[in-house]
Amino acid sequence: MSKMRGVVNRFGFSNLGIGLGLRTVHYAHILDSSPPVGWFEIISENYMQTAGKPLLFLDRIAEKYPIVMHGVSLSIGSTDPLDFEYLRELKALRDRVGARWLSDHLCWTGAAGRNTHDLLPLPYTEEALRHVADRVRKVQDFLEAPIALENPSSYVEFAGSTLKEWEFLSALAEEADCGLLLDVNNVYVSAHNHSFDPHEYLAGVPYDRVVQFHVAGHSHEGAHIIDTHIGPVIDPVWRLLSEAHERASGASVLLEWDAEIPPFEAVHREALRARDFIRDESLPKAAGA
Amino acid sequence: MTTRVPCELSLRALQKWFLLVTTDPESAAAGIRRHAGFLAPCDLDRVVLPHRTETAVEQLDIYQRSYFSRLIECLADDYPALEFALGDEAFSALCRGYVVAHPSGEPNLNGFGRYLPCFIEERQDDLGRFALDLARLEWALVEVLHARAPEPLAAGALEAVPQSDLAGVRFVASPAVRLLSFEFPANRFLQAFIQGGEPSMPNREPSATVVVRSGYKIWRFDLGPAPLTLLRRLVAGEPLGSALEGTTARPEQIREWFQQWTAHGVFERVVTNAS
Repeated sequence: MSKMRGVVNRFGFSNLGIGLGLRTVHYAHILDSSPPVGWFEIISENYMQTAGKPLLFLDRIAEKYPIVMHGVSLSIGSTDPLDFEYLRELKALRDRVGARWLSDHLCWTGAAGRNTHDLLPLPYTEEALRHVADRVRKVQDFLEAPIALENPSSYVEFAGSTLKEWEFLSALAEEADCGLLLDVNNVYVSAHNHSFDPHEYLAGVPYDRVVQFHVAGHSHEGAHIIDTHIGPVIDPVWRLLSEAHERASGASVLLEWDAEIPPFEAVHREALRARDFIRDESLPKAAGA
Repeated sequence: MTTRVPCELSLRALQKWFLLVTTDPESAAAGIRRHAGFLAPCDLDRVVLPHRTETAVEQLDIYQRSYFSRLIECLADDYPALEFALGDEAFSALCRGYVVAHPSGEPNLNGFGRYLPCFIEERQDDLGRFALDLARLEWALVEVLHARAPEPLAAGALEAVPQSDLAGVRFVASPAVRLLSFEFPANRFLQAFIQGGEPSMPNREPSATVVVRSGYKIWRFDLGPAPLTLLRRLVAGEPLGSALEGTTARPEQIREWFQQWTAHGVFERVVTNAS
């Protein structure tokens, strides 16, 4: 029996095994069939600013499965002030569903009061590092828990950047004492778009801070790749997961599928392909069944 | 090959410029030209690194296209029948104008489309008037989806009220109910669309529709003028006695209306003078 070689994250977040992004089209199947899935990740904002039907479904699913919250509007890199009203609602939702942890992206989504609902890239400079680290600490203080930040996919690089993305991420995690959500598909996408070596990226990640992995499909658009979360995961991305998971085998794994979403069983089957690429005897039994 | 010195923009200035360029309604290139006072176009490469296969403008265009397509897609999710009624091109043009006029400032897109009916209202032609009806109906569906829907009024709740107090009874409407009056039969069109038909724009014909959510279920049903008047009065908080004044409907008709309304969760509770 092989031993777990990777480090367990320093925050003590459990390894929830292999999970899926919770999507509306699968609600009925999940509630009717209770499929054996390790956990579900929700897009936090889909259940905020609502008192209606989305919460009815979520409450029932949270009774059966571990939930992790993944946000898209924290805008941690924005130069706008932090939105504490948003954070209050985020915290209330976390407490409502008993979310195991919260994550968002290393990005900004807008400024001057406008939200583009896109994950916009940051320049990797000392100024940005200080700015983001300060905000992460404030957010964690408010939430009274560490958050995990995900490496984004990006389509531009700023001339003023003085650090590589993985250097920035690593320094940020250290300075703000936060967790990381390592999206290996994003590593693949950005490596293609900006011509860097994904293996060099993976070698530069502080794995004791990685609490979770993302895998997903993407779209080739000629000169660049777009992170569309469409279709199955390609083998090179699975192999990046394999390489990274060796170093953080206590981290949970999640498949995101957001465009042309097939029936639940197909998405679940794709997620379970992760087992072919990771070695983890500690994978917990799935919930639901 | 010479490497140009990067522009020293502060993070705040960089974000402001990036936002102006990537939300330009025409293209990133147009945005760069439009905001040349902020950053000279010849300095673009000192801010965004050109890639071996794409210029800086082409890279920024990825964000510009994605900004509009994401928000238009969101509006199409909320207004599918309107999209069908107007056709792809007109709907897309309408939405593009809307995105420019009403950019999102919220953490999520649940309420992003709320001003689309008002945005349409300025169009005075028949298609515009019909589009307004349809947009109001589809937005009502979004509103009740997200509204709190309490346990509905029990079917026998009125029977528990002493006869002498009945005239003073007030009905409290569920927060998840909307009453809408239209110039066109918008609900009939929507129903045909949902059932997979390809309805054409109907002729003018006043109609009224109730949209209500109870639990997981969202109901739509049309009302004639008499029940509409009564329901409007009740929802506005008029006591039952005064709301019924002037109605010519038979008692059994009124009973049927109440049965329908309570069965669909239109009311949350009743309040009597005693309570």
